[in-house]
Amino acid sequence: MTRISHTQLFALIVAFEVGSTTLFALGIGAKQNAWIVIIVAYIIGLGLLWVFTQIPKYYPHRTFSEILNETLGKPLAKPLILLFSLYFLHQTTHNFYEFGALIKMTALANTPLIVILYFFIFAIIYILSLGIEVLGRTVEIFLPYIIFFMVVIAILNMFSGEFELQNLRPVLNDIPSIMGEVPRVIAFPYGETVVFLTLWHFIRQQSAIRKSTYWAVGLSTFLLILSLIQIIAVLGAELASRTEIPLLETLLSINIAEIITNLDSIGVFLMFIGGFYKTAVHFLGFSLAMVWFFERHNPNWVIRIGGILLPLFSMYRFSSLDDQRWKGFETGVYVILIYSFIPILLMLILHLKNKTMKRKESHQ
Amino acid sequence: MNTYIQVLKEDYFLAFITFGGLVYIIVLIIVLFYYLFKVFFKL
Repeated sequence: MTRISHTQLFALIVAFEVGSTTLFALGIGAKQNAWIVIIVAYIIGLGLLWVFTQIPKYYPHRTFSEILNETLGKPLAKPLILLFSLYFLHQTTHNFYEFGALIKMTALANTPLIVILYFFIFAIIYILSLGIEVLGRTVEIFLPYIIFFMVVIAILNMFSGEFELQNLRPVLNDIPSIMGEVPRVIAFPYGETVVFLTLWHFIRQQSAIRKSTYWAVGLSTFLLILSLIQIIAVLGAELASRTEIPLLETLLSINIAEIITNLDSIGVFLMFIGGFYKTAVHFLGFSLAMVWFFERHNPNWVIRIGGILLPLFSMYRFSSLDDQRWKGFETGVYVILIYSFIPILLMLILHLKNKTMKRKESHQ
Repeated sequence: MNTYIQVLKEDYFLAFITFGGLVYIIVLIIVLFYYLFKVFFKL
């Protein structure tokens, strides 16, 4: 079986987490306290990640389907695999449509959306058909650019003259609104990492999964807070909550001596790379779960057939970007919470099952 | 809550995975209690 290193896993998680979060001012419902929402959600998210990374410790190098079959038995495991695959498909269509629509809005205004989506999916089909190690190697190449551009944007923003730290004050003035926003941020982006349950068996060094995941999520949280502070400091909490792509707006406001300006191309680069990996990982999760459901071994047929149908399905599901965002904000977040809660129950069942098995063995 | 139901009414796919997920949470809680019972009574 093809495997990826824990460094590639690290890169994949950072690209996945930073992916669509650059598009939103996360937790902006708490106004200038949004960055505090991220810190609180990160602490709770770490607990969630502990559960996700505990499951492969019981069954190292085993697929998610094998773990479910052994824990719950086939009659209960099969429908759950199907549900997980449909949930991953739901997440794929959301990210896929959103990034396609945003690229149309920011870079390719005259190109029909379906053409953008097909070009997007052809690249995903090609990379995923070559196997997860190709996905891992490409993200390893792109990650330094993502981090570099995000740090450069932060530095340029600070010298742009629009950066007002006063916009971040008063701090902690509205605790109920902070707590109200926390569940949303736990779900998006921390709960979304539930998709990595389908990929853990690909990691060569199973003992390094938790460490790599924690470091990756720590780095992406830092990048997230950095971009959020810039957005609020440049735009102000009120404008940030109303803007469609806040990061792009902050980039457009950078103008240093009429030389360093029009940096929206960097924003489009970040959006495309992030969106690409977010869609690709969810789509790979969907393909693998489908293959396990039908008890096959090669996911390539799902990747190809599913990939060709994906733009049509996405266009059928969402009539516009507003429709997609409305569905995502109103219910999508709760769906993520539901599917990230299931592994907690699974882990508890695994723990109890192991306990009863060990006791039986000691009695024999 | 009303908006939530409105979205589910418009998107049957989303409604299916939402209710499917909720049903499975109940199923898993029952399985969990079964194992808890086994551990507690040392069966």
